[in-house]
Amino acid sequence: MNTLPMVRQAGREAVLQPAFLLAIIAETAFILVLIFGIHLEYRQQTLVQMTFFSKVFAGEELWIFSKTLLGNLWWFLESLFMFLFILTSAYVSSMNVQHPLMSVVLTRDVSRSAFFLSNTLGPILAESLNITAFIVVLSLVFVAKGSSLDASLFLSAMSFLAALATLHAFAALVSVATRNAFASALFTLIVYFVLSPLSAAETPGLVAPLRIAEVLFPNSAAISAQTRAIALGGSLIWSPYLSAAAYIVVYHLFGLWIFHRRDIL
Amino acid sequence: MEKELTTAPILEIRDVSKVYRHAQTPSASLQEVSLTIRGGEILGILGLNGAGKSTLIRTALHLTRPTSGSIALFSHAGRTRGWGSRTGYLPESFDAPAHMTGREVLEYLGALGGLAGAALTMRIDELLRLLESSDLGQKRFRTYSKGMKVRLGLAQALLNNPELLVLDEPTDGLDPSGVRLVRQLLLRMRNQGTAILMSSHLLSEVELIADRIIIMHAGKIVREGTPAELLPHSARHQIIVDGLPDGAIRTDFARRGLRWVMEVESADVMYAKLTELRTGGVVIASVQSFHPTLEEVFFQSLGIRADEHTPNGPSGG
Repeated sequence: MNTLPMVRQAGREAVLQPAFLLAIIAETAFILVLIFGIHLEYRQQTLVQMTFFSKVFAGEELWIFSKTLLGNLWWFLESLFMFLFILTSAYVSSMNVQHPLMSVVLTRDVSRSAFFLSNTLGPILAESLNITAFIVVLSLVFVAKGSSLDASLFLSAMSFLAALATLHAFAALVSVATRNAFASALFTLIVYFVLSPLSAAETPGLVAPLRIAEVLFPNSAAISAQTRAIALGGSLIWSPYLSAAAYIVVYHLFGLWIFHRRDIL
Repeated sequence: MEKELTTAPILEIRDVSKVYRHAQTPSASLQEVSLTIRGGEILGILGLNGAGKSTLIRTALHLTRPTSGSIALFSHAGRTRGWGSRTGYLPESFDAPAHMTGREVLEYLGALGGLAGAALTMRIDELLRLLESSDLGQKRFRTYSKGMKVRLGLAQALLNNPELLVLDEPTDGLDPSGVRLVRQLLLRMRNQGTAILMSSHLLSEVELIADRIIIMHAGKIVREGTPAELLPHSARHQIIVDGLPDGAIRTDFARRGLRWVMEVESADVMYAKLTELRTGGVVIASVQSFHPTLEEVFFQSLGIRADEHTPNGPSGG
């Protein structure tokens, strides 16, 4: 099957991106801090005391600290990984218009659709594997420190990947439309870090333009809120994910339509 | 893998035009171009920069969509299953991800062409040996010289032992031994039944190996034929004298350095002029005869004198 080598190649390109390597370094640093900086003490499966770099938290102070730490830390990690993976996705998806081997690949038995979708699927798979590995190691560290295995971490990772897949589809569309990796990264970062939070907050005075933005762009802030809520033990609401899936399909169809009309130079 | 010799058309291009509309004023890159290439034939494309050679090649391979006209590859309009494994393509500037080694590039493209496992490894080894490039396999693409890139590009184009080989400037960047190696390889493939469509700025190379030549200018084919058809059998002659003779005949001479030269197109005219000059007592310094080269035919086809054209010469486009 011709698609597999292309997916593998696109995934490899993603892994070799500096942004992706930075994500791995950040994950490693976080896990090292967790291993050496935090000591947890459980009694009958319940956390009773946490030592964070020699500062001891217990009782109500422990509850407040753990919720604040987890909430902020999760927000920070999510933003950091999203930023780095958007850069990765924008570059790799721009290979749809400027891959060095594109003209040669497209004279093999490879359809334009397969080439385009492989360049989307490859990085998403690489990022998924990375996040899954990170969550597995994180869980193992928690288990080693006496906690029980927590499924919410995995659910939260899947939620993160859903948001990332939507943004990746958007980045692929922008890159094929503009033929520019930088524009793709910039627009996608603006959607995630500016438009989506503004839209979610329903900022006064911006309502009309935001209504348009809500239609054109996925509400990734809603998914991110879900991601954090799940990590903190909240329940799962499906509507943002169904909406994200619809956006992924529409963006890819539109991107494919543009790509099929392109002359390969 | 010996191919069956066939004279059936492998590539047929009929009245293909390509107009780029994204420019401020639409520019025609191809204008009603038609050509056919059969198995066991080398078709050379010549033209100046921007003549439309590369656009023609990309259009033939369905990379660029024609504005009008039709293209049939292996007797089918459009792409069909298995089309890619029967075609090899070397683009004008072969490029690959900088971090990949030559072998990785070939493994990747070979896998896309349906090759796998030991067959792929053996084919890669065979091609690297054939192109005298065994050292390319382990080196990363970022370290390649231009000549090495061309050799790797040729290796990937030959991976599937294609029936149609399309080469855009296959000798660009190669040293003389590389040029000779490629020439021998292409002739061998032609003899095995491969149809080869190649553009080159090395006119002498095209003259040496092409069975037919087309000369393109401003998106059109301006001349087409076998080298024998394109190169006139009759020689061009020059009568050279030291001093400008008197009489009406003096207008036929042009100054070249210290001497005066008369150019005549046929032997009969030359003998008549020589008789006339001798009768007038003119001392003939020398008489020279020249067989036109492909370069002269090329520039003549474009309406340019060969000695008038200095920048870059014919090349990519």
